[in-house]
Amino acid sequence: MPAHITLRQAGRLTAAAAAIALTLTACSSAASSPSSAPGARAPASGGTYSAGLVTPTGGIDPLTATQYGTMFAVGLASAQLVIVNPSGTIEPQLARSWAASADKLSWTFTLRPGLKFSNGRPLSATDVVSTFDSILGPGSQSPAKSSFTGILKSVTAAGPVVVFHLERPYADFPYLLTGADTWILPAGFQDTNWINDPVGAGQFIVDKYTPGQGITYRKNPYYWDAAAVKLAAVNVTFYSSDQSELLAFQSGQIDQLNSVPAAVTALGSRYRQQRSGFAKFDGLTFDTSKAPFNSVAVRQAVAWALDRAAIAQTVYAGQATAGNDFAFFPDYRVQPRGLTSRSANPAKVRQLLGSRVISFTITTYTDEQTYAQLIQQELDATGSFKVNLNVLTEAAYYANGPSSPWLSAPVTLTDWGDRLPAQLYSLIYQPGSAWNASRYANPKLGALVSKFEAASSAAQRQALANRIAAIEWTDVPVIIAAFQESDVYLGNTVQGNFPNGLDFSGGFDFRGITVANS
Amino acid sequence: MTIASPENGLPYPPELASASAGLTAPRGLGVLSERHGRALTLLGRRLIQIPLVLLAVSALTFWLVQLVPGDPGRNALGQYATAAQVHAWDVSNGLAGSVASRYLHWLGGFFSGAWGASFVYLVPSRPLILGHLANSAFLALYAFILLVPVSVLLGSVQAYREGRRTDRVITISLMTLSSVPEFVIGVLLLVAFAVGLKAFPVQSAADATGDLGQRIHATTLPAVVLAASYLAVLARMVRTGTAGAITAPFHRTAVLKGLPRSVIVRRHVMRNALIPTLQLLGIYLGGLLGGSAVVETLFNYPGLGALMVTAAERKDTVLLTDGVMVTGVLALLALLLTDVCMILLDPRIRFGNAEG
Amino acid sequence: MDLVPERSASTGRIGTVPALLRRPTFVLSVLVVICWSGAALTWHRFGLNPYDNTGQVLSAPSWSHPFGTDNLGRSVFARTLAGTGSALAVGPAGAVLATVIGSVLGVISAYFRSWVDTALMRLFDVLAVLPPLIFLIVIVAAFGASSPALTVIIGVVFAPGIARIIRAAVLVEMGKKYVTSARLQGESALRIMAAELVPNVAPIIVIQATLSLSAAVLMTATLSFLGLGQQPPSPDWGLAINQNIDYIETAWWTVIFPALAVASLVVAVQLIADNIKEAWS
Repeated sequence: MPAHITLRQAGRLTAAAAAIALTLTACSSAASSPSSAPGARAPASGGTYSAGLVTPTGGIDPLTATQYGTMFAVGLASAQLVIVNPSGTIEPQLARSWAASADKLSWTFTLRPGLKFSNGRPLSATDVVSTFDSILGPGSQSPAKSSFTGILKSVTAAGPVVVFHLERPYADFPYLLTGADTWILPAGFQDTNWINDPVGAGQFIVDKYTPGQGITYRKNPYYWDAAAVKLAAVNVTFYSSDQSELLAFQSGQIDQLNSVPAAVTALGSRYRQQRSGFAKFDGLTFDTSKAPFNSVAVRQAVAWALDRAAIAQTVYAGQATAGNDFAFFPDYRVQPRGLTSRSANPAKVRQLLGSRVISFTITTYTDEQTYAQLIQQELDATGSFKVNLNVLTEAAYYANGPSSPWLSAPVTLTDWGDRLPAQLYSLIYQPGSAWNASRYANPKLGALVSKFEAASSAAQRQALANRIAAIEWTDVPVIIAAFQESDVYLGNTVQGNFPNGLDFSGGFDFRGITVANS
Repeated sequence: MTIASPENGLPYPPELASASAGLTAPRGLGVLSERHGRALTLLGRRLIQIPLVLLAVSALTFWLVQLVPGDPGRNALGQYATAAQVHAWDVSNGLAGSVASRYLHWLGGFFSGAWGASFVYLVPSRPLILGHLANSAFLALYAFILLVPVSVLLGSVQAYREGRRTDRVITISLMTLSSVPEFVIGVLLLVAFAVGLKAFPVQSAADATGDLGQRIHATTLPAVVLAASYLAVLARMVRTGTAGAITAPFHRTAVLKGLPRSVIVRRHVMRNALIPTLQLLGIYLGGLLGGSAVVETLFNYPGLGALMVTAAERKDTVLLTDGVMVTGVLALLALLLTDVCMILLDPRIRFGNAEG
Repeated sequence: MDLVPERSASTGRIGTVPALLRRPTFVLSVLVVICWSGAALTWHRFGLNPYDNTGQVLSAPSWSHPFGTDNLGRSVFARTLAGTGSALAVGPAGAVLATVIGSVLGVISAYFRSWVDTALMRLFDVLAVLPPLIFLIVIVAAFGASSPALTVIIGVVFAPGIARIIRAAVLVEMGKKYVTSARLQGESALRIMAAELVPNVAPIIVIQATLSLSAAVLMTATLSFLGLGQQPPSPDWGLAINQNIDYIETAWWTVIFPALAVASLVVAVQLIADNIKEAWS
């Protein structure tokens, strides 16, 4: 029969292929190979929590972590001086108490007694000083440096007390200490890839890291509030696609899932969600130095043409708060008042533009393409705009160099994380800022922001906030249509509520959470 | 006109074979050693040429990836770092200096076993690549085992039933299967079997170093998707080759000689049918071993394909070039293997002047 | 088993067209291709709009929206029809280019052998060894994803594989009597290659052309999957699948219809080629 010979021939090739494959499989056992869960960890009362994250790239290091996945991986094992809770107040972590000096130019933070790192070494004020020296130092590669430039002059230690010396008064200074990449590291820490020797003061200790695959953690007995941490272990698995993360969550392999529109549609109300603060806003930024967006009327017309409710529904699956074109996150303790909320108003658009048709191209990157398409759809429907899209990969969008698209294209769509209004001003609105893609310059606004941070009375701050927001709202160099909530789906075996948001500002706090493992 | 000869490793034209060996073609062990000799010569020549090809490939890759827009330092540090900080990162990760000097530096390191470090993952590149390669090879082998017997069987059946309904139905079914993108098939399978029936895990990397049975179970879905995407092509080539062999002159000669049908099929048809098939397999084997980025991404399988796509997108020159070298060696060896097989299987040598 | 005499090139063409028209799969496939081509050229005359919001988001197929709507409220029916343009632009052209380059070089390589063969084969090895996806990613990232660029890239990427196969087939032909007799008769190399060799390996060339067509279409879909293909809001099928794959459980129509469109076009082309090949011999 024919099959006889063919199988023999096929068999020869299969044998050859098998030989190659087996040799390589043998090689792999000498090389680093993917690992599974540590397995033989006897579960304590709390169980093992499985998290799924986007594969981190570029190393996992507390000083340079920028992606959410990387920050999660670091945050599980590290701690900051203070964190922010969901109602917007600062909570003590490594620091027990803090106070500003009378002249507001220095802040004193007192550390808890008996703090230790995960390797048993004591954590003292010198470690804090050393960490901030690394962040602020001349050779620092940490993105956190930009949060402190022009604000923090130096840090000194005296016993259990850390003193932060400021260049100018800054009422929200403690919030800066909850920012990204401000985890406290041991003094003398070499700034190489931290994950290779992960020491931190957080709730968990890194057990095993497999590049491109996952990290396993066990509970850190030296954490200052270890008694409140019920989980015995945390398994982090890396995923490179939303689709596989969603499917893994549905089949119970991971216990949490960030809410993206497709997930919300698929999961509906079958799983509970945990509110976790605000994640970001996506700013439609105009280059105000060139036509047609050097005219305020045109920028305002775009702002009045957008249907913000539809944006919140379509882009963020309804899990967003509408924005009104000023850069104050809804959970910030001072909210501007007295401004009309913008919503789709065709009459106003026609009033501002007349019969003109404005053509422009929105340049953005792949993660933003749904929002960009929606903007295009809405603006084209008014008949006064003609919008094209230029969607780049993330790497191409943020490419370095003088003509980097996100800083030089006429209209861009860029996301910004949860930061103080003053920080957002210095990044996006301040003239001379490296990130000011809109080339907007308004010295009055700068003066108001400085006064805002220097002011102490609540009434003063409110009045200043109103004026700041009014300028941002009127000049609208950046359209802020919505603030995305950072909601997380939790698997059915997860019990308890997360005390703080699962983000760098909330400290990746797993106290009180248990998982009913089989 | 150049004449095929042992030196350039090409099959003998029949007229020379009969001239040198008399009217009857050499048979038995004499044939074997002659053919093997030619195969060895080919092997020798190609083993010298392969390193040159690889050198060209590495230079091409290294240079090409510089064209990708983006900057590894910016990718690593994100949008909040200053330009100066990005530059400092670049310098500390060996990204300063001209392309040529970095290439030579890499090349020197490659030959001495120090393959450099990936700046996307910040780990040494060699264990990362070899580990992922082993995973891809495992998956490829599994897919191969599923693929070859099925496609050979289907292709032969189609050839013998050529033109009839069975042939048509199989052709259209396989075509449709191969025309739907891999990731759609993969997601459908995942939704049906992993989420719906819960018969397979969603994440194929589970227990990759666990026991073999578990590993096979976990990698079944991606292997099926991989096999499905090559099935139509391979079955088609088998079908064409077999059908062509059935209609070829030497076949008629063999029939005229009065050989029994089973002998004809076994000795003549199958050999000729397999030649184009083996060529195709050689090309695909290299690609299979290198890993399919789409399948690996979808099933979260730690294979070489997905690793290299990440390296290409994020401009990780060292990781990408190392990876391309490794897959290059495999692809070239696979091609060599099929070229050697083609010589060993060529039926005209056995039958000398029996054609026409 | 029937014995089929070997044909020389010219006799195959007589009687092919009527023979083809008697084959149902051929006729059906040609109709499919004509329909898609027609859709590409005339969809905008039917008042379909692939970009506007119909007001219903993620709605299932119904009488008003035969293929349902996607997450931006756009009609999937309109988008599927409008996406034919980009599918027909790149895939076939790229496949044709690859086949032409590959066949020519394969025939030349097998005919002349010696250093020409070695040099060409090693050149192809260099291109074949580069993983095609990586090559494409790098080139597309560098030069953009416009249709002409994609066509050239796909042509260059698939040509070496085709050349190898054509070369193998031509090598088998080279040993046959009609080639040696043509050479002895003093026919020029070009005539031998064009008039004798190519027609006899024509079936294999046709198969390779259709295989590379399907590969090209799938490759462009994969590029869209990785975000390197057509620009949004293009209704390109690959891009549509990429953007909507997350909705496959809750809004399957946004993925399945573009996927079926891809499949139907590719299958139709392959069946046409199949039928031609069979009618020829």
